[in-house]
Amino acid sequence: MKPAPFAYESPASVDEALAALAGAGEEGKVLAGGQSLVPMLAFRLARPAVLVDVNGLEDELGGIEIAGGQVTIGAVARQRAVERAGLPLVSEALRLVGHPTIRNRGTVVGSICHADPAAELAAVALVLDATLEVRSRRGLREVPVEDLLLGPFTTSLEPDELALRLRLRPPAGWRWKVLEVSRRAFDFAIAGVVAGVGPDGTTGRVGVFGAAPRCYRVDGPVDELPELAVRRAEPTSDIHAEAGYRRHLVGVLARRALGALAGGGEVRA
Amino acid sequence: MRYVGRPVPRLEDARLLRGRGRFVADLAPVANVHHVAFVRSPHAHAEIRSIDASAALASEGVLAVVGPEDGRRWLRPFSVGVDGAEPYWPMAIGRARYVGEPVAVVVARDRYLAEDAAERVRVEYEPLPVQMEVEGAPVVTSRSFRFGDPEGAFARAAHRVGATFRFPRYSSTPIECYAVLADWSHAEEEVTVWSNFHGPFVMQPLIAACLGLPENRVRLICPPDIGGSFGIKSGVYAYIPLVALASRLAGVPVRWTADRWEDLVASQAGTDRVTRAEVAVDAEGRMTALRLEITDDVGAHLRPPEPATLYRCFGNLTGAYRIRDLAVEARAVLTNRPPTGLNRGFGGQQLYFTLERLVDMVARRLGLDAAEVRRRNLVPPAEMPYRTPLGGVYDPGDYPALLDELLARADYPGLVAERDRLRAQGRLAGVGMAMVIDPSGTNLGYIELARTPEERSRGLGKSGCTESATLTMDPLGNVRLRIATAPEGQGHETVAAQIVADELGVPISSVRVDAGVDTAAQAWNVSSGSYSSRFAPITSSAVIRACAALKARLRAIASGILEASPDDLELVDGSVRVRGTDRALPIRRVAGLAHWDPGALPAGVEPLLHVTASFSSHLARSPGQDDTVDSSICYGAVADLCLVDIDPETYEVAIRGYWTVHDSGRILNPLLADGQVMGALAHGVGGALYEELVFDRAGTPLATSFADYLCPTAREIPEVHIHHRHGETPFVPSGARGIGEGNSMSAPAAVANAIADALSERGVEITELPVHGSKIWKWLQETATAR
Repeated sequence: MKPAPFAYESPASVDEALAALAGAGEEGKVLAGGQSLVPMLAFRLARPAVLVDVNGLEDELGGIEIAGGQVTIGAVARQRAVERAGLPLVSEALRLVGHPTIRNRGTVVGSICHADPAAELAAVALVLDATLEVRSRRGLREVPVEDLLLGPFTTSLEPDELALRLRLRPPAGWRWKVLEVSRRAFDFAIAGVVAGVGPDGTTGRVGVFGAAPRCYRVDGPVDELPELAVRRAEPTSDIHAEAGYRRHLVGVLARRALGALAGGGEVRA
Repeated sequence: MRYVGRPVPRLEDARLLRGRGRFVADLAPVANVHHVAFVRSPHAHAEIRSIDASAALASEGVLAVVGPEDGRRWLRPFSVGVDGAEPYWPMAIGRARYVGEPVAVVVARDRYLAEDAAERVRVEYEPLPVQMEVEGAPVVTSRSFRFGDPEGAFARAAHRVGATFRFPRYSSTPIECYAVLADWSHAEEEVTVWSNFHGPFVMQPLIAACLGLPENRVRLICPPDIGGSFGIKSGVYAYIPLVALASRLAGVPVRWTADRWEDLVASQAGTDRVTRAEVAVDAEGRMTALRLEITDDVGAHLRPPEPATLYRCFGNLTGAYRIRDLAVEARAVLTNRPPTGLNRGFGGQQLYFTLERLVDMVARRLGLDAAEVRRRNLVPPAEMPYRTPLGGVYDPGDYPALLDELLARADYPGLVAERDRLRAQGRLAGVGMAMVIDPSGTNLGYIELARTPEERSRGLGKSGCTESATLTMDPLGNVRLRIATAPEGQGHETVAAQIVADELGVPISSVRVDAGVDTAAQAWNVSSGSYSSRFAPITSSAVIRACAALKARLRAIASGILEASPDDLELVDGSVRVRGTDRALPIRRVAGLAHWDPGALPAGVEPLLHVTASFSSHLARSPGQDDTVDSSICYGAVADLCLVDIDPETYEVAIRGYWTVHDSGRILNPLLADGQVMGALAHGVGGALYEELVFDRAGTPLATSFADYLCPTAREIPEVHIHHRHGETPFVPSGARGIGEGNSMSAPAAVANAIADALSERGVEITELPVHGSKIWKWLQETATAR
């Protein structure tokens, strides 16, 4: 379990990072918190020729800003820092993401870009209308997370692109609840939901993780949301859960989360 | 002040907590050490058509590639404990039989380069059909046993209760994985091996034979610190010849430190077992006869000491119950999984999952309380020491009192009321208990049951539980104790020091204990090591014997100056004293006399303050012609009770409270004893709810990292209430039974019984583990469909 050989680049600026990625062609990989990538390197499941380590870009990409109803999270902002930034929904979701030591290193943007179908953060990003600011030497673009996630561990990012920051756009007056089932505390979710109810109390959204090749979101009247969420599920079986159980959980968790919100749960984004 | 029985903090902790432990990977005993990476089979079953190592040999930093032809030329297959079984080579020769089986060994300057080169070894495989089902798998050993009159008892039975139980394959995942450093000496034609092997040292002669060396040319050194094992690391022995051969052929010392993938895929696992079981019960709920048809999946090879899992608990196969008639079919089959072996509890968790589930099924069938059925069947104190029909001799214990204490400590009626309260809220709640006999101090002779009496009669008898201890006193009266246990974190140094300090009447600070092993430099025997919870009953007793021998010598030395008979002298408070007087000599004076002025000693007194003594119980004998064997020296008893709470929609299982009461004889150190109980219990909970080595139909392992092999963490372990019944076993000088495995055996059964209770009204019976939400969902679907 030692990585295959790779060249290591430690750029001092975003521009240098983009140059390194451009130079690596199809063979580059960005290293941020490394909590998923490093094990994949060790298993030789990921074999980049060039590893571009952006951890030195704290000044440019380490920020967390809350302004004008929008939350901006830089690419190397640690999950632990975001968890403590005064964002109740994001904090609640982060507390389900691995052990604290993992969150000390792991980044929010890295988790989104990893596109794990069971990732809590991707579901949070979906329900909060998040976009990702992405740059390459070819230019800058703002990609909705909805368009970013293509399938398991697959995104629409090009090999020369670097994700710079995530923008969350929590709608005003909504209340949220995160629920998941996992084999153990902090494990990957077998299935989970991020449920939200709007200020009118009748319309809502549910983001679902662990129940399809990618996280997804359904919108609609609160009463119909569990059914909508279940219908969109395309779960698979693995050694921890059968597909049917995952589908069952989506319905149970969506009902429970929405039920808790109907009871007046006050978790804001 | 006496030390034994007190919660003396571990002497090992200061170095371990400061990162100053000395593990194999910390040792640099020789220069120019190179590293090994294994080429491992990606197929569960395949013919090896050809191997081309040329590209690997041309890679940077590579010294050698050891392939099957080298293995065939330089190694010999391990001897297997069953007549007629296939020879077991430590690498795939001709054919690979499980995913992860070593096919070639690459030696390079560092591990990275070795892994790079290992990828370049081209192996041409021709896949063969894969056998993963236990049913229908080739039987490698099979024996039938009959004790008493099981047919008659079943014919007379008022009730017959039976089921087929499937116990899963899981491990113990020690933090430190296998490690071997081998230095082949071409000058002496011998090999020195540093490894985190911990016994049984019966494997040392096996290693030597595999290498074609006399035993005295294989020097095996086990370091002072080993990072856990729970039995799993005993299997490192099979890799030692491979690493030694790599050193021999590469001409340099080589090191292999296994990583987690290797540990989960190709080290050793507990044995998965299918048991068809039936019990005969009279009208009052007394179990009269037991029929067991046991099938152990030992994986791709019958690797020694297998089929030991079948027989480790033979003497206590009837558990805590007075069952006199038995029919037992014991067989092991070969599949394309990795080989199995020791795993904390070793055969006990498999046995008691079956037996204790059966007892609960009896209770349900007869409409009796689960505790009441147990009470009616427990071996009564009046029959102690109790000889089971299989030959086990239980040292005295009061099992009904143990059960009563459990029920009182846990407030059993209160717990049942709490269960009912949860049920009224719509939860799926259940109470479950288990009572197990916890064998400690193996009699190695039990393994011979794999052979028929006739086969056994052709060879020498085998038995044994011997352990030794060596004490040396320096001129100032400090002592150094050497034992051959190679502990993996249990705290043997601490407890041995407590014993020595008490026996010699000296402060614990003057006692230094070496528990690491060097087969070239100390007393050891084939039974040595740490396994089968043998430290407390066996090693401790050897330490007491060594202390007695040193005391005798000190008394003889002091008798001249004190002008008293040695028989009238005692060792107390750091002095040798004439009993009943204040005439005394400090021990350091006595020691100084022996070292510096032996001419002053009484005639005939041996001046050397260096003694070795051993302990071996007369109870450890080879199996009788009637196939009975006392498979362990001591038998503790454990009673567990727990409450589980299952979410009625997500089916997540939570243990709300856990009580365990032990009868483990004398408690040498309560701090360490409770630590052992917690560790064993966590492991048992792992087996009940989380841990499983899962394979797909093609034989590919699916739990190959800690993302998929789920060990319970602090968040999963419930609050545990531990109680001990105090007493001493008269069967060993230390008075102590083992304690480190009991809950590994009992917890899977107790938790399974609680879950079965929770699901009893939903038509689900628990006959397999681990249990988790997805499985419960599926079972409930199936019962709903069936209705």
